Amino acid sequence: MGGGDNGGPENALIFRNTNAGDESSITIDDLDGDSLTRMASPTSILGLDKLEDKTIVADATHNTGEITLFSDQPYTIESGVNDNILAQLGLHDIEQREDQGNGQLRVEPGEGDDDDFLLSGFKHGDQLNTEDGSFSIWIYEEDGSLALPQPVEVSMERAYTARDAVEAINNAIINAGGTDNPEDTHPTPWVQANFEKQRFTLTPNDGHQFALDGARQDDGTFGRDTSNFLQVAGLNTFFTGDSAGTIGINQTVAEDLNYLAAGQVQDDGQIYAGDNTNALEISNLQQKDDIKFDGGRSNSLNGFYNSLIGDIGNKGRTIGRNQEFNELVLNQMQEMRDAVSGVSLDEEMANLVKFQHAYTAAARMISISDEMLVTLLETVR
Amino acid sequence: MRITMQSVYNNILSNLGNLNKDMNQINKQISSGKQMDQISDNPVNLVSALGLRTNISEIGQYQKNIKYGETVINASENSLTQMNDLVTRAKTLAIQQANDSMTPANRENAAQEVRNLWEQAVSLANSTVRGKYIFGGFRTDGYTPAEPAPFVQGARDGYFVHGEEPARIAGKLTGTISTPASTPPVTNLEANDLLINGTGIEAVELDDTPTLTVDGLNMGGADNLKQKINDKTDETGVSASLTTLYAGGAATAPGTSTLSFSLNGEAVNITTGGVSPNQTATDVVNAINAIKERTGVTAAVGDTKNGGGNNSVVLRNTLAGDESAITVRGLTPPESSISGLANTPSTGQSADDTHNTGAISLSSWSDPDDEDAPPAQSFTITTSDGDDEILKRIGLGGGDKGFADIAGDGILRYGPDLQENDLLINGAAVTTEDDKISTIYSDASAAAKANAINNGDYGVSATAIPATWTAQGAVEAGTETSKLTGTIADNIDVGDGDLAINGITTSAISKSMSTTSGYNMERAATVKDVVNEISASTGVTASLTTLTAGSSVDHTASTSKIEFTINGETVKLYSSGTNNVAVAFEVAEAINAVSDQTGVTAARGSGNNGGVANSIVLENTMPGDETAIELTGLSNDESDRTGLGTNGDGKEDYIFTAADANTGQVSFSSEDQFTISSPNNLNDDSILKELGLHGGEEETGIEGDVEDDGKLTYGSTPIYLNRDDLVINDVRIFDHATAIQDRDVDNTLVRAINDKSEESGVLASRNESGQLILTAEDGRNIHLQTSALGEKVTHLNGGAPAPNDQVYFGSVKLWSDLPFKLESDLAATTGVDTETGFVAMGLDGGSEVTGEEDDIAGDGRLKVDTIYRDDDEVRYAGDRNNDIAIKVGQQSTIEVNKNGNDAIYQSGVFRVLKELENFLLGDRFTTATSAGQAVNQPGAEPRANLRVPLNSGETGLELEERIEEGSFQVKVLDHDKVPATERPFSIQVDPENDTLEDIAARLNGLPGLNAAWDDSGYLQLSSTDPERYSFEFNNDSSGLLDATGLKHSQVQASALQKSIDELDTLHSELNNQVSDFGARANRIEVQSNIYMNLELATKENLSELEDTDLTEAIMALKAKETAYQAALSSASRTMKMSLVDFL
Repeated sequence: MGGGDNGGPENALIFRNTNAGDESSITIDDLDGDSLTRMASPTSILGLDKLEDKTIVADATHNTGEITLFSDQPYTIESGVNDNILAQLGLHDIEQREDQGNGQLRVEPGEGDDDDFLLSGFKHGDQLNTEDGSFSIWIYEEDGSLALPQPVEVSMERAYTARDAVEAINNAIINAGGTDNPEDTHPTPWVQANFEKQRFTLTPNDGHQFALDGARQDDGTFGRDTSNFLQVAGLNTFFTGDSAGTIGINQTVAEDLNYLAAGQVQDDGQIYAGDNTNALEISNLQQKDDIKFDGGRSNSLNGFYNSLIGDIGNKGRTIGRNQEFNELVLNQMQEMRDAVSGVSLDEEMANLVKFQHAYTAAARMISISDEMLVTLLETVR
Repeated sequence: MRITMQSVYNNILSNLGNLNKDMNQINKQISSGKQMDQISDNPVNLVSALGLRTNISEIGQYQKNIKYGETVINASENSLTQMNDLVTRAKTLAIQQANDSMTPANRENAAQEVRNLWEQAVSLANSTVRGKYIFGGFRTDGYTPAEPAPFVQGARDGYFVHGEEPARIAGKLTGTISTPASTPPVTNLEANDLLINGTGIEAVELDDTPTLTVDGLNMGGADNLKQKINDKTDETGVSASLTTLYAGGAATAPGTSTLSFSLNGEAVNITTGGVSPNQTATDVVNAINAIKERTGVTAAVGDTKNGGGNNSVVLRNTLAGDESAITVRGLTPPESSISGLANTPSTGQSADDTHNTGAISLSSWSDPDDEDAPPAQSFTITTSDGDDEILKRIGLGGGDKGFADIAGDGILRYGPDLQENDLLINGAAVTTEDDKISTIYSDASAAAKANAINNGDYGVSATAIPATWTAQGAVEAGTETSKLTGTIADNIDVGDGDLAINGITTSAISKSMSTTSGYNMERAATVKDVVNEISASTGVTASLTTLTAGSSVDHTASTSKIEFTINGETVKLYSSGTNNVAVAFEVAEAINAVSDQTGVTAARGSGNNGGVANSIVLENTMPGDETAIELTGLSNDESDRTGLGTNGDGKEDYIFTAADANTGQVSFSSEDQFTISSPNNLNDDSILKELGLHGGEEETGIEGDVEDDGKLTYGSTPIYLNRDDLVINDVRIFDHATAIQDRDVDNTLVRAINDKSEESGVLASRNESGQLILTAEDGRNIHLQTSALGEKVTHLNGGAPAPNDQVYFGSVKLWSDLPFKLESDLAATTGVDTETGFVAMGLDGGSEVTGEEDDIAGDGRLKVDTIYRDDDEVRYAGDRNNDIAIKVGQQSTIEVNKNGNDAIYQSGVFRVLKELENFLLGDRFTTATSAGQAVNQPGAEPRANLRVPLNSGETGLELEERIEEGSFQVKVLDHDKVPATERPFSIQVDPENDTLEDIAARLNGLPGLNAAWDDSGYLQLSSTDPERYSFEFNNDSSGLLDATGLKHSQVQASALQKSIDELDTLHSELNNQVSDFGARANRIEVQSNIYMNLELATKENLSELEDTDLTEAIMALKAKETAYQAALSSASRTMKMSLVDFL
């Protein structure tokens, strides 16, 4: 109930999403529906005139005034030397904070139950559509015939934690009749979803198989997955890893190519041995020229590889040239240095001869002087 | 510059090193054959080279693909070519065997060969390349023991289930309003307590004790509710009506007395002992109930709880929701007070707030003149209380009142439509809407259901199977061709006891009563009265024929453009006559032009024919037809010019009844044979002459009637059906009174229904025992409304002789190439739950109904996954949607196979071959053309010969004389049922009455069969769905099959001819397929050549980029070597050249 200080005026009805950081919409409709028809004007009595048949999403004027941060890794917020700025975000006095007062906030992954993992914290968790998104699971008998004539549509609506997702999957399968013990309080679905060690697994029971519908849709969504859950949870049969850095081939496929999904699940759920749709798609990947690479460039895989090689070649060549150039410069310099400081044999020899001659001349000077002195002296005597 | 030795040495060393390196590089190029050793050697070239290398490896793969593709395409082409050869062989056989000289044994042998061909075709269709099926679409492999190959011999194609026809429902839903005396007592309805199709109904007063309740029935409440519901009809599409009830005062006990009156125009004559008021009332009630099938009125003795006071006579329309008037005439005091029936108003008593049964009847209703009106659909009543308390107030609570109705839920649905959550097919909800063809409950028809399923994305296709209904009994009517009608004369007095009917004498009929324009109208009315006085004892009733005559026409009256209606039918003329005689003829002619529709004939008045000279005399065409003649839309001027109506009275509309004027004739009718005699004049016909019935066989037309024996004996008289007696899908089958014969031997009923089939969408046939068979032309509902008389005659709706109003639904067949699942909402009832959605689809009741072994009744689930074995069928188990494509270029693919469904199955090769086999064996005919030709007389109207009796000698059939009275049997086999079911129909042939068109119409009206004579005079027969229905003729005692050329051998010959035609079509179809694959083979070969050239060119380019040009390299090496040597020697010289050495 609104109090003038909690997002609504006094005595107004206030609706808020229970889960912090849950931006999914709140919709109120059918206000004129059967149950209320006998009330004169239900919308104004309830104060909901403005909400009638509207869908409210979190925006600048529709939120709880709180902000929730998600990451798949530990992270630190730094804001000067004290908590003043953190206080502006309401993040200064979080319980059990050990780094109080230093302007820093370090967030480590929570301990706790696996199931409490928040889907928003997954890598690419921001891609998740919990508004009206869903994905489909086909379930088959052991012999490959359909166990359920239609795919089980798993709605990710308002899924918040890993447990929500697991329950959504299991319940959807059970509700679609995919269980052997529907009468039990806790029926076992034919395909059981689990979340352990921070990984989602789907495991069929004995006698069943399943397929995630992998057909690529015209709108580009994968696997009739409008929720993007499969992508976020990393549920696919081709790859492991979550980025170009960690990408790898699914172990099972790598060991036995028969497990490579060369075909797709047909619209009617059939899986055919001769279906090469995916194989064609995969082979087309090589030439597909709208693949986005780091830096926003689009190119084909092949083209990117070739230009990478070209780049490296060019770099190698440039380096070779640089080396050559620098060697030449070095030589030149040495030559120039040598020109100044180097010893030229001819020059030294010439100097030697020159100085020898000077010496000889000087010596001769002395001997002549001596003779002259002798002569003089003798003359005088 | 100062050059030091060091520099010189260094220079020498470095230059020698460079030379060395270059030589090494060249050496490597020569020895490796490649120009580039490291990526940095020539990055620009390298990138191009890398591109080219990729191209080459791609081209290599494409060529491998193409090679594989060629294999598959060639294999497909081969299979199809061989299949075409099989078809050629089959055609040859068919042509040989179509020859008349072939014996059944010959044909049986040929059939065996055709079967072999069929089997070969299956194995060709299952061709493989490298162990992979080429006609399986994407399913090249991965077959199961149940479906070992794409084409499975001996199993039905796909998965399917047939619904049964949902149970018929009454056209109207009727509930009785509770009263203050009910438990709990009735209370008023608040606004929005009751919602019909979501629209709230205003507040209704039901509990205004005691003014609303009359003798125990809440008549006022019912009327109030009716008004409020009808206020909202435009929104709800539901209209309400009451049922007329009329109660007289308490009867008295007058001792023995005779009461005579007419009820709804039917004579009632009662002789009551009259020992007590109750006895009198009971006698009256019994007498009225004895003729209730003619009046549509049921009587009961009043007990203050049934709408009448104690010992009164309570009359009510038998059909709930029938508001039409109850008319009692001819009761004058004191008879009226004795009888317990006070006189009703002369126009009769219609339903109003004090004359109804206290019940309300609801029906879906659409305004035919308003395009925006909601269609007449199933409807849902919801209530504000969520339990049945409100519904109970209007007599509709407690469950079992509507469709899948549960007690206590406050909801009542009427009509087996599919609403949200009723039915899920493969998990998706099916909801029906207006089918645009049904006139009532149009969202519950087979068509509506089939449309909903076919328009949605359920992975299942639906076929509407037309509704069909066989009457509960044979058509029942009189046997003579018309009522016995005589024209009253006025010669002698007929004394008391002079005339006897069935031995019972009548009162006197005096002479010289008033006449009108030459007709003894008053005497005729008297004869009628005296005959009807004793009709309770004689079983013979008399009736007049309605006549009305205007005053003389007036050619001077201003208007000449005349338009008015007679019995609702427009009469239009431009009257240009300049004298009265001409005008009278013009008007009479215009009226007679539509007399088939109006049932009224016109004549120019002569002064001796019931009208004054130059007046217009209108008579009901059918003698004994007392129905009123209604004229509407006559302006004053028109009235003046035609003399019709009453000049100058300003009225536009007139109703003339037989009580006003008659033709001076009396018609006698009875259900049994009767005798009219003159006990006092045994040797002459003078008394009979007064009735116009004298003179023996020649005069009366009665076979065996002897002149002047004072009596005549007549067989039972026919029953006439009139406009409201039989209404199919809102179309009145009869426009005017039409005589019907027992078992409809003269085809009147069948012809009348078929004549209106374009409007009603319903075809009629009848079987040998004379029961009508109605079949809808498509998935629409059949809405049959019968009056008491209509029902008595046709026995169409339930059979009991009471007015009835029923809706019949068709069924739906579901088919898919994959197993599919249906789920139904469950209506919780005691015992087995009702599977609401399945009931609507006719699929409730578990495995017995659906044929699915695992189907459990009442669990709301049905999985259709049975593969039906059938030796004569081929099942396609492959992929129907995809054709395998291989990559033959960066952007281009080519489809190397076609899935077996498109390439082979759809061509019908298996069906056509199997048909040929069956035809050769004389089995499973789906088409036939009569061998005999009905040749029309030159110059005769087209098809005239098809409309003459079979024994007339004018049908143009060469063997016409072989037709005699008898019957033949048609068996319609339904091969969709496993095993096939057969419905035998016996068609009776009456050469005197039946025409060739009648026979065709009767065959055409059978479910599963189409029949019509073509313009060349051949009877064309075909199955409505050749893959489902086949037919057989046999047991011909009528010679008709012989005469028309539909004997078994002749049908076989025409079937073989059809096979030959179909094989022709098949031939060209397969040829198309073969040439399609030929074209692909061409394309792929062209592509292969292109790649061969491209590969060469690319390799050359690549080689240019990356391979070492040896000559060039060796030359370069040589040059480097020379340079090296020169450098060496010059260096040695340089190094020797020093001052030291010199010194």
